[in-house]
Amino acid sequence: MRIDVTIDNDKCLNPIICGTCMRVCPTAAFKTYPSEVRQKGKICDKWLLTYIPLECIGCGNCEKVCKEGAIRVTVT
Amino acid sequence: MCQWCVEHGDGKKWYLNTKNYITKELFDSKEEIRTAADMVFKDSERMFAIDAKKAYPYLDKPIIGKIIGRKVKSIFEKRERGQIIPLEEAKAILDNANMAALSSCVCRQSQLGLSDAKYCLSFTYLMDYGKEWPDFSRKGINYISIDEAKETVERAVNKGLVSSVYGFPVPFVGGICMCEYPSCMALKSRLDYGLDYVIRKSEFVVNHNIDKCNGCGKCFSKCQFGAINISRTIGKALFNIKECFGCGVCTHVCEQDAIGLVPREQVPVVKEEW
Repeated sequence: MRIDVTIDNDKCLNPIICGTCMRVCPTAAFKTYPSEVRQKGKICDKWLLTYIPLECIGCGNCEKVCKEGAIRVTVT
Repeated sequence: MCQWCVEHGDGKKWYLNTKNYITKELFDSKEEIRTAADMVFKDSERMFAIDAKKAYPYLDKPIIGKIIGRKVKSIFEKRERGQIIPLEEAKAILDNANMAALSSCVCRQSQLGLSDAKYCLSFTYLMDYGKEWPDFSRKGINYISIDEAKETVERAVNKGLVSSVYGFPVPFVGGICMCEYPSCMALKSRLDYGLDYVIRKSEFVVNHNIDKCNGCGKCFSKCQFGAINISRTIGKALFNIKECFGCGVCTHVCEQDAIGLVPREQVPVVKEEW
């Protein structure tokens, strides 16, 4: 069995403002990180979403709750 | 007593030795505290996301896994590492500290997208430094009194969260976190990937009075480590002390007073399990 999760970071709203997909993940496989290296005293606006393939169990919760259609889960 | 207590405790537990609490003088004089704090405030999310994605798939491979495991270990020696503590010990630490601040949890921000989940208690000078990183403190830092801090920990433990103390790096006590598997990176690293140097088991282990137990299952629903099993045959809870982390969450939900904690060194089976 092969699990593929494609994340479209252009469609994704800011994951630390929306973050619906991350909260429904049973293994907390999603991670978000700032798009640039942090500077002292500067706020980063664009955050990127990624996931750790090893932790993903392919349940498809994230695809169901994402209103922007930014996540696609395929299990083959 | 664990190795950290022997090395840094001066006869006490390492986290109760007030010499190790981070003050302004200590912060300015020790380079390693600043390095560890920088890693937490600046690089945490990147490490969780990018480095973890690179390193974790190889940890169970025979040769390359050993090399990567050693590299990860050397990173964690410089970073914050922790130990699980029961509620009473958390209160003892707060009694020794003279100032507490509540800030957002880095793990929950990175893995759940929650930037306002305030579950991390830090003391003394560390949080003033954390303010300089607005992404870390984007929802602000609450400076609270010691009594409020104790209440916060108590509420969290009653909810079922595990309290743990973190060194920035060990033995310098940085703060107390209220953690939950799987959204806590430290518990996840230990339970899923076997990186047992990230977080240690507590100085205590569970002591179950099987005669008083009525098998209600309240402790079972609170245990995050899968150490409890309810035997349908005898109608009582059974504890696997090898799996027990000694967090003490189950002791607070038991209405029959059947569960207590004993120091780990008194139980020969788990004396060397950290």
